[in-house]
Amino acid sequence: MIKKILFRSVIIMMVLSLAGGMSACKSKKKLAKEKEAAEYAAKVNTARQTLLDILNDNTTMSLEEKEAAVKSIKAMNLNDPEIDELIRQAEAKLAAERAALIKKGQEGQKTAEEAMVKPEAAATTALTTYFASIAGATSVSQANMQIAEALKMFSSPDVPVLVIISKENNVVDYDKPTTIKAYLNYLKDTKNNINKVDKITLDSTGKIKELELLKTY
Amino acid sequence: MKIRLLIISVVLLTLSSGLIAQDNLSKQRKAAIDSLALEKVRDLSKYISIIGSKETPFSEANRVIERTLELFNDDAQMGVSSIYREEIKYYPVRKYLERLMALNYDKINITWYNIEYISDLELQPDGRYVGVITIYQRFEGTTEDGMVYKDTTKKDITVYVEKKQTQISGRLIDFWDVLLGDIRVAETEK
Amino acid sequence: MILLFAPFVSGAQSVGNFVDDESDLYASTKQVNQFFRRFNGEEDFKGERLYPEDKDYRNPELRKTYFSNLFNNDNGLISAGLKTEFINHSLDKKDPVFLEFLGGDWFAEVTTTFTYQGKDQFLTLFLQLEKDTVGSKWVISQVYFEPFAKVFADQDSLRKTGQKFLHPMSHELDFMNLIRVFDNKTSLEQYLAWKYRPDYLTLFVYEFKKGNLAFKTINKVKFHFFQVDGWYFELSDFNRKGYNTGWLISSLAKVSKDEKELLLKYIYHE
Repeated sequence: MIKKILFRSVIIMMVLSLAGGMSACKSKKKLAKEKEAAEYAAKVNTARQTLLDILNDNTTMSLEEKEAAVKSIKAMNLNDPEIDELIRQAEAKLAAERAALIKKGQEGQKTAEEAMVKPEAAATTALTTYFASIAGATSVSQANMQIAEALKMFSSPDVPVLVIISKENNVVDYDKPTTIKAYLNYLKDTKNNINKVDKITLDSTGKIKELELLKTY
Repeated sequence: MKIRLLIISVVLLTLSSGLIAQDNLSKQRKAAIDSLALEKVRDLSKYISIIGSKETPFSEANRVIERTLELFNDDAQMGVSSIYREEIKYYPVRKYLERLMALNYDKINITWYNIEYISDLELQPDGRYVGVITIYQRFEGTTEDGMVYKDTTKKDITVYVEKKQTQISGRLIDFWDVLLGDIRVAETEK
Repeated sequence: MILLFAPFVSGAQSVGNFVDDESDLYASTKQVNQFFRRFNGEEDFKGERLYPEDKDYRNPELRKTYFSNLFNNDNGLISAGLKTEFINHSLDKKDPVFLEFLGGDWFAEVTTTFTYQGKDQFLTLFLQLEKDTVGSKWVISQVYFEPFAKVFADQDSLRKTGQKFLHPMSHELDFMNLIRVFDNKTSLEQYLAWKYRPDYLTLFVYEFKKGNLAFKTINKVKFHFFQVDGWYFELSDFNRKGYNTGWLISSLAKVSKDEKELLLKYIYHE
């Protein structure tokens, strides 16, 4: 009798631990999937917002910057029907704007000017957007994901960041220099997004190699 | 890699110049330095709220403790007194933060009054400037069985300001280095 | 006065997010530095510093408003008349008085606890601001410690009938009568120079270095001011509810030069 009870107990324990092990396995997978889903959802949200801003003229981006933004969203290959439709609409709108410019005869001059400032201006816009999403992130993982994306714009995570606290005549006062990785993590922790992009220096590959911000109290 | 080497091999030259004296810096520049010091105190406040919150995961709270310590001088102490025991109890900053993290409440809510008062910056013998910023914290802790403990503490925070120099991408940059020092924590009757 | 300190929530940036009436915190004289600024009329009601180019800098009306809340108003020891006289003196149109942080006649009295011979004891440290080659710092200038004071005789009471002394011809005997000086511990001071006073600060340093004194904590801090000519006041911290809180004048007296010397002796326990 006792042997039977013991045997049954062992079997029950084996079943429980197997189920536990499976559920542990299952919860790890589940967690990874949930993380992936959250990251994807955040990307889709950011893309949707940018495209809607372009379509509703709710942005100060130049035509070049808008075209660059749509191109980069398209390159993300999000495979979301809504996003795909918004991309299609935005491309059509921007193509019309481009045609209107050519018609006005201003394109030659403007293109030359915009070509010169295009990379820095586009980078400024993108960086400003990243700062806002990192500081406004509703979770640490969402912020970390945005940080990882933003860091791709830089030649390394140790790119120096100078923050100007005061500019009076020719005298510039700086806060203690930091690195872009440390700065983005600072944004995540404090949500203190009061520094505007003042100057970006790009390397030969188009990555940011130095960044100056201006504190706006 | 080169940039990293440049930054790692940064040359910190201390300039102990009398630049902050009320009559040497313009009002605007002085206000900017005051604002920088206040910003560090605000950062500290946010970190304390994160560390104290029971919703912050353990590893995250520990990471934020390390970030908090970067704001401070190495030998900074917390000097704490209560209404009923006026004498000061001393804790190194790390210990104070670890105790905060380990407080035995089910829920903790730390908020801050809007007021912030910054003293004049005075020159000390090592060439640094020192000031004190006063802020007020509201603490509410709820135990598992619903008991609520509340207090309001006044925090007088020492702030050190020093003009330093470093090399960034081959050029010399002057900057203001702001570090926090001892903090006097006194429970108030509010 | 209280209405002046209605909550000032500064525009874009502030520390907090807590919604509550903060007017009492604004009214409070939160730092000794703030006491100086308010006494001098060098800050506005938001607590922001005023500079010489600002129109309200050291404005007598501004100072008068501040004065009403720089005294401990719960204290019946400072009469209204004395207060008014002091304020009028400080705000004199021809010769207004301003306090100086550095170089002014003021010092700190700090009551601490030290462990001495295995027992916790109160020990009073007196500190003053001292200019260094660069900047300034607080330094310990005097000490009062009851266990030290008990050891020494009261110098002022030594000159009386029956006092012991080394007679004026002692030198002819190679001062052999010194043997009597040292056969009794309690009467040693009778053989010392008339103006001798024990130096507790040196004793404190000696005992501390010998390991007989160990610091434990701070108990209380107050400040003594002799900066206003002909006047003395004491500054203490009042931690309580309401608008009359923080660093406030806790004691006030008119003092002549001689009275000042007496008062200093009293403060230093001399």
